[in-house]
Amino acid sequence: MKRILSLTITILVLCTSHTLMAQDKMTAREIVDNSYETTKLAGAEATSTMTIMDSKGRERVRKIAMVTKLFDGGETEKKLVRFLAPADVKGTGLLTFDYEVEDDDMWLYMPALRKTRRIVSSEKAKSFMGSEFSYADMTPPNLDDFGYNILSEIEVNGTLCWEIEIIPNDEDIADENGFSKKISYIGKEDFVIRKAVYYDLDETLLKELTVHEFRLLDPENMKYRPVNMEMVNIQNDRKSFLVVNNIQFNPDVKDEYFTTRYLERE
Amino acid sequence: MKFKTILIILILNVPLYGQSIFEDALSTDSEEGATDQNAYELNGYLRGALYGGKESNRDRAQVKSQYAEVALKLRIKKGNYGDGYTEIRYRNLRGYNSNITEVELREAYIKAYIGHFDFHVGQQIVVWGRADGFNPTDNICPKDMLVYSPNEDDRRLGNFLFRSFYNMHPLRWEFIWVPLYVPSVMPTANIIPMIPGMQNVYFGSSVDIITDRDFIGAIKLSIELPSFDGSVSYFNGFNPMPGLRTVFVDPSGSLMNVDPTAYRLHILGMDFSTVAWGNTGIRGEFAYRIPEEDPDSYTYIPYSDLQYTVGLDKGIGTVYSLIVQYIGRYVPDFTELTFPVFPADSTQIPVHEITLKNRMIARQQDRISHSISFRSAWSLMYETLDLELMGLYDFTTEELFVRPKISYDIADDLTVTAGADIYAGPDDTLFGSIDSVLSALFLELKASF
Repeated sequence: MKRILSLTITILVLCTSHTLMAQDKMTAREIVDNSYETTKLAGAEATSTMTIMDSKGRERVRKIAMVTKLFDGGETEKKLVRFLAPADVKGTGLLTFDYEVEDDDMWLYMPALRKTRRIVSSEKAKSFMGSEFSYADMTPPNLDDFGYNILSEIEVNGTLCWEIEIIPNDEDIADENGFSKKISYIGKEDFVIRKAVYYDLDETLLKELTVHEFRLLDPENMKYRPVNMEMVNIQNDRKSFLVVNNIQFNPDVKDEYFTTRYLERE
Repeated sequence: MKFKTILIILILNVPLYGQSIFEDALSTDSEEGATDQNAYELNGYLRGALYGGKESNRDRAQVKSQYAEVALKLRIKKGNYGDGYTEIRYRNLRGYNSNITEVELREAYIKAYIGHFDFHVGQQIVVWGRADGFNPTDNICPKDMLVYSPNEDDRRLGNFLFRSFYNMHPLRWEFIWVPLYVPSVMPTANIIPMIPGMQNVYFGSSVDIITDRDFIGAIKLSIELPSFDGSVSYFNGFNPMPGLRTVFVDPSGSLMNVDPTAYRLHILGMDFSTVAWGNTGIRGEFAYRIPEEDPDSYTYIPYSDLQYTVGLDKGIGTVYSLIVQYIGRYVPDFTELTFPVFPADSTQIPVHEITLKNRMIARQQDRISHSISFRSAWSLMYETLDLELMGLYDFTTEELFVRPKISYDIADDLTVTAGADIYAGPDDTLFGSIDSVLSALFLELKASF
């Protein structure tokens, strides 16, 4: 019995050390790739509140409901976002087919227009709902568009993280994403991003993302989602808080959500 | 029997599962989610608007319209099964030399979702077409171009209709039946001609329907693919904007009666939208309109024509977007009108003038006409300040419409909007005729809830 226990412990130790050694040998790109993979849920539903605070402390609040699902073996994430508040945008819906390499397909339904419009998705640097978050911050990027370097290992809020420099490959990609450099802090054990720092196109510090809380939603596949994030604009003192009020892992999300038929249901 | 079984399966393909977080959030207007299947929500707005411009034929400023309005929008949700919606507006309006307090039931309809079918029944507004603002296939519901409002949607009018969809993604069938026709509102005071020698022109207050069928029917088949959306449609009904029918001309040539008269037509439509070159949207919309009656026999019936709109839209930088469209019209059977220099009787000149006005309303003043429209928009200060410049220029008739607009969100749900509607054109054109009535500066303050 003792021999079996000892053998088991030895195997576990070997496996763990092998994994850690394997992680230590990972390239910066592999780490970033793994980091995005950890957030890829087969399907999920959530409601969130975005609080935007200007430099004088005045608040604006936006509420959204969102449903996502992976298709094509995980290469396409379909997403339906419905705006719940404020009242003047209530009922607006955004349907996105987010591809790994190609440009996304997007449709917008606005109650005032009474119809769905296909929209162009090129400007990922655009502010998301008037917040400090950009569309680029909310969707996984095309990994081939960037170069990656491991700068160091550093502790962020008690978690040992890789400090990874992410630089767009050319000016067009920098323009499209709205930053010249990004430093991401990715947990060594779980590949979950804890913090990120962005530099604007003039290479001046622009904004800082802090992930206050994340949740393991799919333990079987080790998939996480951040549920409390703060983005601070260093240049103008504006802050945006994105809090996920309610989230559920649901791989059986109905396919019919991701149609313009559903998009138009206010 | 097999057909009946299939029909029952199709109709009874009702979702039987409970609601999800997502649906709960939509049903209850709460981000926390809930399970109440009979949720309702009440939204709306209060607004005050002022329109001012130049008084007709005088160099003097004038308040053209001022109104205070409250809108209540009630939605009753029945989970996966449907919902009911109504919007009621109550306004006090001073405009067109009158003071009106009125209640408008803008929409009141029920939606039911039964398997692959969606049914919408009641007073509702339907908008068709993938082009921006100038939609030749959009003929289901009437419009009132005399409404002073910064929001284009306020010019749309509802009508009672049955609308149903059969969804078999990526295809979608749509069927519309409008039991009773409601016409668009005409700017009559300005387009009734000043006919030489004619002392009185009496204009009918209601729209005549010269047919024993006054329903409207339409069918559309849409395809929605990731990279391409499009549809083909067929419309059989009345043109929303009636024509002008000469009912009576006094033999002395000093008096005439003109009635707005609806005419039936068939419209074959098509539209599409896609994205090309990675970041440029392309849209197109086409309609071939065929009136039932012979235009050579009735002055209020226009010729058959082909209308087409093709446009590009593009976001440039993070705050700017531009839509540019070419809008054209081809009238294959177009014939020039010749002025009766030596009229056989005194009625010929008035009838000629009315025919000219009908061509102006139907926008058939040439065999081929060309226009360009644009919508240039900036969203600044974290989407709290919106600037927009939209316009239309008709190269054929030299008509111009421009609307500069600026909106600022003072706080969430509190918006101030200022701008101008500017119509211009030669006197014998529609924009030239309505310029003195509709060209105005505007200011609106709106609080939503």
